[in-house]
Amino acid sequence: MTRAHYSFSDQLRLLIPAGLSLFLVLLGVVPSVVHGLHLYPEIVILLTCFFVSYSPAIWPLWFGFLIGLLQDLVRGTALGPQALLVMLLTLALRRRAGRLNRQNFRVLWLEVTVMTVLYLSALWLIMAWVNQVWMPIWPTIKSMIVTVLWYPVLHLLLQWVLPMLPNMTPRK
Amino acid sequence: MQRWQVPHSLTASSTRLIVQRMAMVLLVVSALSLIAFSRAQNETIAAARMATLERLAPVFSLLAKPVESWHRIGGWVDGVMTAHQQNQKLKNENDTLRHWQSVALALKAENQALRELMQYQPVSGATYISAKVTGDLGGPLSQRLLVNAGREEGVKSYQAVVDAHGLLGRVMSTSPHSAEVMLISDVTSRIPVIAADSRDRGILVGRGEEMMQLSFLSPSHRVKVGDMIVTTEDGGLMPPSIIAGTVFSIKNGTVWVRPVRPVTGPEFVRIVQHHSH
Repeated sequence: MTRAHYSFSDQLRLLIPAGLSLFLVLLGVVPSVVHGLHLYPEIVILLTCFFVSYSPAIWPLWFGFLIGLLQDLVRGTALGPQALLVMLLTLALRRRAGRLNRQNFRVLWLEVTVMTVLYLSALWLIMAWVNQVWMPIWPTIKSMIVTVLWYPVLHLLLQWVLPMLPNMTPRK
Repeated sequence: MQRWQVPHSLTASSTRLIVQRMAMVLLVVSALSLIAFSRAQNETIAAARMATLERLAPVFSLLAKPVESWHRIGGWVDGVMTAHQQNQKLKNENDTLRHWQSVALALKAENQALRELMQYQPVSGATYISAKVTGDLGGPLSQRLLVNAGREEGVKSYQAVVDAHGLLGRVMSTSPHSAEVMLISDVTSRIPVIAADSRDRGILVGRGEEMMQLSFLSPSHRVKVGDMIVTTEDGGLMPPSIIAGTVFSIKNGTVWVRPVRPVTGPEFVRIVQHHSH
């Protein structure tokens, strides 16, 4: 199924996940008390998990690369690691997307937990290699916990977005 | 001679598949190249990064407006609710400050007299550039800020960044009107410091959290809990005597330093233009 199968209005509605993702990634940069306490989740992981699980077609690989690159930019990490990891996460989730779509919330949350741990552990290793210094693990573990705890909230909020998205079955 | 006829739909889908695979490989190679260039601290990548951040700065400011309004309303409500208590606290602080003002004036006069006696030449002077924090670029693996002053305003890489409480970090990269500040708590931060009382020199190492480690101390150091840690001019990058924190604990020979207040969340900062003589 390609984007050529969708009507113009459907294509416009396909921009909703992209726009929402951009907004939420940039929101993480806003200086606030909440962010100072590092209570903002690694939002890209949650968005990728949600959208790819529900409909891989609305989260193309190139968009994963771009949103990961933006996350690299605004999180002060080296450029590249999150672009790579979001793509790998997208590919991994796509293989399971059909099955995940039929799973209940608890299984999805477990999947998000596993993916968050793998993603942030890989990021920690890559950043240690880039900075040539072993980084303390505790801030990463804290970030894993915060991210996993945020998923139910994001899941609930994104349920309102799903009806706005076009029907993912190809048009006749 | 038999000729193989390939169905058109099959060719199209195969071509699409090949293009998709090639695009995927290209993206992965691009990401890996970026990582490699970042490790090598490529200047072009750093400049591109700063240029993009500067272009995004107005978006950050726009998104920050509701948060700033919320903080202002919260601050106003808090001010009204605690006006009496604050008034009392300010009166007490005022009394204390008056006392310290007279002490400072006496010390200044004494210092001046001693300098004249010793024919002392000041070793450095500093001017400041004020800037607003437009973005918190921090995460679990880095602690950085984006501020709205850059090369055009006189900001240069490695300049110290302070707020009212002491050292916050230093400038890492600049664009015409923005600068990226690495906080002292960042894991890659290394600041030459000295213990104010014992005069032991060391390097303040960021650990990615509030607490920082004081490393490279002499084995016979006399640093103790509660000592003030300030910057030194060693290396010529930092202006001297900016408070970086206080010694919080010494465990198994490791000296832990806590900033005077948490380094995250400042609204305004000052960038120090250090003029060494």
